Amino acid sequence: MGPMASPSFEVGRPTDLDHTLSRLLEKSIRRSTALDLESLCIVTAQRVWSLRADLHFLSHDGNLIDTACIATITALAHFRLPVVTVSGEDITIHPVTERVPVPLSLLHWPICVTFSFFGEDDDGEMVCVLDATAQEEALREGDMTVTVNKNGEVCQISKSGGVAVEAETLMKCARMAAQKVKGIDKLIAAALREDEVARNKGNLDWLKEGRSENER
Amino acid sequence: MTSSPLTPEISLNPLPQSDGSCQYTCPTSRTTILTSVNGPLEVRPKDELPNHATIEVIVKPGIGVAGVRETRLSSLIHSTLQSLILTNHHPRTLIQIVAQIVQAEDHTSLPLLLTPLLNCTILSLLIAGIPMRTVGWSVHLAVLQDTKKDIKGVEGQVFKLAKTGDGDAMETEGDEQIVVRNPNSEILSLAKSSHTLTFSKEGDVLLIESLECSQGSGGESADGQGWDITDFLKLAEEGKRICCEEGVEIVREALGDRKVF
Repeated sequence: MGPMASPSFEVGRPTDLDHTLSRLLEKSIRRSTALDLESLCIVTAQRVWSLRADLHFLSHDGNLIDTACIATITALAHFRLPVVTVSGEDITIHPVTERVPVPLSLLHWPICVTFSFFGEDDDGEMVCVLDATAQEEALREGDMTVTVNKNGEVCQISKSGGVAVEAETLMKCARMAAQKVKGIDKLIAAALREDEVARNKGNLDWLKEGRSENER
Repeated sequence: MTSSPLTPEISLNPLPQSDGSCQYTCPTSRTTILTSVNGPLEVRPKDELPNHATIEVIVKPGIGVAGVRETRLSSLIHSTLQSLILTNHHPRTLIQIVAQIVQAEDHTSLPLLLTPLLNCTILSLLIAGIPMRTVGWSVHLAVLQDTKKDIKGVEGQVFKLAKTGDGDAMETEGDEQIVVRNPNSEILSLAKSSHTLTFSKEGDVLLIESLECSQGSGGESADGQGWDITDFLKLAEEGKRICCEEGVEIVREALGDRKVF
């Protein structure tokens, strides 16, 4: 995160937002075991793949967490791993031109939804905003991030401080998040599908793509 | 979308949050750079200059964290811009330039990245309305080693320069050398030398970054043969023509009806 996203970010000095973001993404994607780590193992206890996701923030107008999460999940789902064959001691990594690379085994797509709370209105109901802009984020009194997958399973909830919110409102938010995630999930799937069709123009073999899961 | 191998794809102001930004895609190597310019901003007291603006250039790599290569690139851009920007117009301020490498054929190749970075930065400075003495344009030329070898897919990028004889009878090369503009990493790997030349609109030299490469290394190592200075001067003359005529034309066209210069 640098001054490209917003001049308020300084170079080489991580802000609180930086820490919050990396912790939340870590909790949402890595610790929810979305990625089957076993499938990244080449030879047990010897060789494994190492995956790194670099996130670059280009333009900051609020809701960085949700955007970053969607981008990471889409990138993981889009990524293809080269095929490896192991025979005895020999490990061969087949180049992309030789064997069709396989997608990662993502067990589910956890997606973050952030709610911004603006205190109670005249009827005593909490005002919450989804997908807040940078200005709304600067004015909010509290926030909560819920990570849900499309099956409606909550992977992570984080509400650190801010305005006190009734438990009922939280339930309502979680339900709303589950609903939103279904839409976002469809959007990601559609984008991936579109890319796959564009990449495989005139090639009918792409449906026969392999899988990286181990035989069990 | 098909494009000419010499005209880059330029999109201006893709980032609404910065004062000026530009995305530049090299037509052959598909190196894509995104730059943003913010300024004049408040400067940190330790960087403050009493009668000049401070220029800060940050190059962010596409993969991993910034290292020596990025520092080198940003210092090259910094020194080029130092002579272009009228820093005395905004004393005690900061002009902040961030360049993000979005896509590159070879993230480790300095010559392939430098030209797009410079051109993109200059365009975003123009958009941001930073006062500049003049505009510059950069071109990357690769001189090929084997003139007999067929190079495919470079139509329109190639021009030939007559080689000056150095009296060496053992020289078996032809009397012409092939120069490729905007080489991609494949062509660069065949090159004998790689030259990044930057000229101002008036034809003054702003930056020369030349590398001698041994075949197959893509600008990584040298074979110690160097290049002939008279050949180089001819090459520079051609580079000057490209920058001053075609480069300026590209900038004019990109800016369209924004009358900047």
